[in-house]
Amino acid sequence: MIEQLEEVLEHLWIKKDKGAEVKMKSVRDEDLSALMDQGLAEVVNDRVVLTTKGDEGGRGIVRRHRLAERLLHDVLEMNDTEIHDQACRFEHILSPGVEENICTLLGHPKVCPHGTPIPPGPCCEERRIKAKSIVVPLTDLGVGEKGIVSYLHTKRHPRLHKLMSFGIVPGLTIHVHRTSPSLVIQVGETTIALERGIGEDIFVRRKGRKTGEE
Amino acid sequence: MGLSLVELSAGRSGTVESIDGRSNLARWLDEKGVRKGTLVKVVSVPSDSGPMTVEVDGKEVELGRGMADKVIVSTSPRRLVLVGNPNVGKSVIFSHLTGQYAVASNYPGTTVEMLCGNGTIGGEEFEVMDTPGTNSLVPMSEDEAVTRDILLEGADIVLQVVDAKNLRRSLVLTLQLLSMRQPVVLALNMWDEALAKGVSIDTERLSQLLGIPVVITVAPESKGIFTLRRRLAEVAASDVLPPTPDIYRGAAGKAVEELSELLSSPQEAVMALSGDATLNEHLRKVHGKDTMLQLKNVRARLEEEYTRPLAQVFDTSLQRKVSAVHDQVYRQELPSTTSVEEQFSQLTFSPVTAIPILLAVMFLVYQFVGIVGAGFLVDFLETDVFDAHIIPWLQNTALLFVPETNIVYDFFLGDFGIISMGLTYAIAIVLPIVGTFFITFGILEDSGYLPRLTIMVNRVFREIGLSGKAILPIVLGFGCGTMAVLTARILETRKERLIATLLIALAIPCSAQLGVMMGLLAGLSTAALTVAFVTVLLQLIIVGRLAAIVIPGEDSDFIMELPPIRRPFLRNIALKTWMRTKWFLMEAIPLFILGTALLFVLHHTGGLEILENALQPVVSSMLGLPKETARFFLMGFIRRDYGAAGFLDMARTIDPVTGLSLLSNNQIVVAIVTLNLFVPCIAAFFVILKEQGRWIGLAIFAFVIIYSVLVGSVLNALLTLTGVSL
Repeated sequence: MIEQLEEVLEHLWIKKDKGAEVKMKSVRDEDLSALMDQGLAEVVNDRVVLTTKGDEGGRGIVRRHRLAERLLHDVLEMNDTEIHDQACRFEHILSPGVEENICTLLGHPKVCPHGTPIPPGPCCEERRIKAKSIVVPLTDLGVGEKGIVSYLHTKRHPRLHKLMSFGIVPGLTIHVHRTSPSLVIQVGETTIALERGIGEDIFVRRKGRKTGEE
Repeated sequence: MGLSLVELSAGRSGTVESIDGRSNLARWLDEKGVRKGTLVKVVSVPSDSGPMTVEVDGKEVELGRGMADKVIVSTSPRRLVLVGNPNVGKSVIFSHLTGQYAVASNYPGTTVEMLCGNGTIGGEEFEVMDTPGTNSLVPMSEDEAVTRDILLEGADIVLQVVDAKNLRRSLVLTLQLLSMRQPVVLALNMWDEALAKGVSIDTERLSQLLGIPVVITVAPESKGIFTLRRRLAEVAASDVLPPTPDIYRGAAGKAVEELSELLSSPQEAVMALSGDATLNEHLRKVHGKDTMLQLKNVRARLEEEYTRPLAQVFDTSLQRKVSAVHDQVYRQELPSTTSVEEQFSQLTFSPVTAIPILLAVMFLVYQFVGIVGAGFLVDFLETDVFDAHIIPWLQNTALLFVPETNIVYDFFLGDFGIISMGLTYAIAIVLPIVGTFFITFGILEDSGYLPRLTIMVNRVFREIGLSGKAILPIVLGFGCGTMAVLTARILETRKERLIATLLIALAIPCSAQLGVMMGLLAGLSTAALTVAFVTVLLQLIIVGRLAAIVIPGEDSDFIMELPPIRRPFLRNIALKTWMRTKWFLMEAIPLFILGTALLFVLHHTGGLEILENALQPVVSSMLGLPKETARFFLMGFIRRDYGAAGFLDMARTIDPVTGLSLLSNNQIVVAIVTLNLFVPCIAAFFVILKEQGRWIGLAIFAFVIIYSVLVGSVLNALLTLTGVSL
């Protein structure tokens, strides 16, 4: 599939995911006929609708794009604009095997750095992680361990807002003091107690190993 | 206060009281809209002696100084609003500025009500307001909305109190305040703690970056307060607002810029776009329908542009700006030694030491309140002071003038006398217990230990529909139920507040009652103690569990800041204990007197006997108690502990014929359980009505009465059926 067509397919899939409809005239004629030729889309009542094959294809592209964003953001620590440009190129060149490896390395992330969900792949479904992943939920850290906040993933905005207002924001170091019955963590000079359920929404990159000193 | 208009600085307003001088001046001013009763706001006062500009009815009018001098206006004091994250010391600074005592404690979120006072700044009288702790102006709880609303109403100076070592978190609020175009002064409080942690802040650079005065303070030691006052006075005298920070970028930034021209500030635009529904009414009222429509359009457009919620987009930009400022001024070097407090703090939540420390704390509390307060002090006051000296002396003195049969004598000093029973009871039994409890509670609160308990209890509390945060009202309930019901406000959802209130009303005995009950249980076997304790605990669990299922509403997330362990200040503890004890006495003593008077009247009119007979089926048949004990339940209506004291008296009385106590051990256990679950005192009941609304309050009341009698009856039946004698 040529890149241009992949871009259109990606766009259509995102629209569909949001529940929006796409009018026939908003897609260029040559793109539309190419999509239809390959059995990726069809036209129903003046609307462009993805076929099962098209849906799978679009989903794959979006997944690769957002995974690439995560990789660039979490591991290479690039800034937002760089991330977007690079990710747009990555999505076309990643092969399924590499895609799975990246997903595993990142700990099967659920969302991209902007907070939109990453469609899960087969590797996420069978989440038996053999390699120790770099980015893990805060609850995976033991007493005395430290992690740098990579991203927060929660559907409840109030929770996200609250975490941020306590100073739990990407880039800051969290020190785990206690893991049960509740988590006790320190961010900067703030010590916070929270439920494990909330800790599962905080994703961190492990920092250093467990030491006996602290 | 009559002032001439020329005396007002820019930004202030006043209501016209009168116009001195000739009538044609008054006529000229009248044409411009300046007449008696109108509100005039000074827009600008040129530094030369040129005419000043004032605003009347939304129109600007120029007035010569000579003319303005003749306009006499009355002004209301300007407003200074204290804001800050929870637990940063706002209340202590409030006390410094107003000379008024605000209950300060080392527990986040203790200021649940707005506090107002008056203070003088730069020779001018200000209304000073202390607000509940706020993390962000996009509110997440009722408390935070309160602070935002006050700021929307308008503040003349905003003093943000900052925990210096936690600068990053505070800057979120600072930037929002500046974005709201507020005249902000920053007090970097707790500077001593920051130093101890190796924190250094370039205050000059910070002040420069934000364009506002920054003052270093250690409020409990009054350090920096003088400078703070001077900076506040400077801001009060100036009419220049600090620069509005540039925070939001991209499409979101453009939208904020566009909207801030329609609304009053960029921050208001952000709040509106974040979809904060509680703000809509304010926006509609102030800016009108058209603006609302435009707002809706802009929001729809933006939502199209971003895949994530707009509130999140704004949060991210704000955090980026915060980091940019923070990283330029904040340095931390690891201190070579950790302070004793810091080390202890670690121990309080370390898995190994946490439980032993908890047990030690509980033991000490028991020693102080149970042994010293309820044991030693009560014995001393009741036996040695009241029974041995005060009452006999009063009785003997009175008997010199009147015979024992005199009704007035009986009213004050007889069996049901206001002094011999009511006051003795309040001062000799209740006061020592409550007093020692409040001292202990104050120490626990100020040391910062209490919030640490939330870690342990959260899971257990979840089972009964509460979160760990409820530990504060529940523990306080063991001191005074009325205060505890008020404190339930710190809980985040309505459901949690309701459950906590219900459980406090039902199962948590207040310290006074606990003291009396301890006396009752003292002579009993361990088995009796266990039965009583387990029965009550079981009800706490059953009712909590059911309430969690039955009552609709949401649970809140449990995220709680743990304040550092601090050495409590003796002065603050003393002050706090005094305030609380005074509050308690003011509330309790009238009730004791009322209760005693009621009993007296009932006793003398024969009403008591009628009531006792009426209640006999319940008291005798269901609970298996002597019918005279009905009066103790009546007393229990007024105060639970008062009723318990009646039982204590009866249990101590030995029947001269049988040589046995008037109450068997089984009866004592049933009485204790029933009374413990019985309605709290009248004062608590009124507070429940106020806090929860009339119908819910009455429902709680009815439920508690029925439930307590039911549990007592079942216990009685079980004991009788099994033939157990405790």
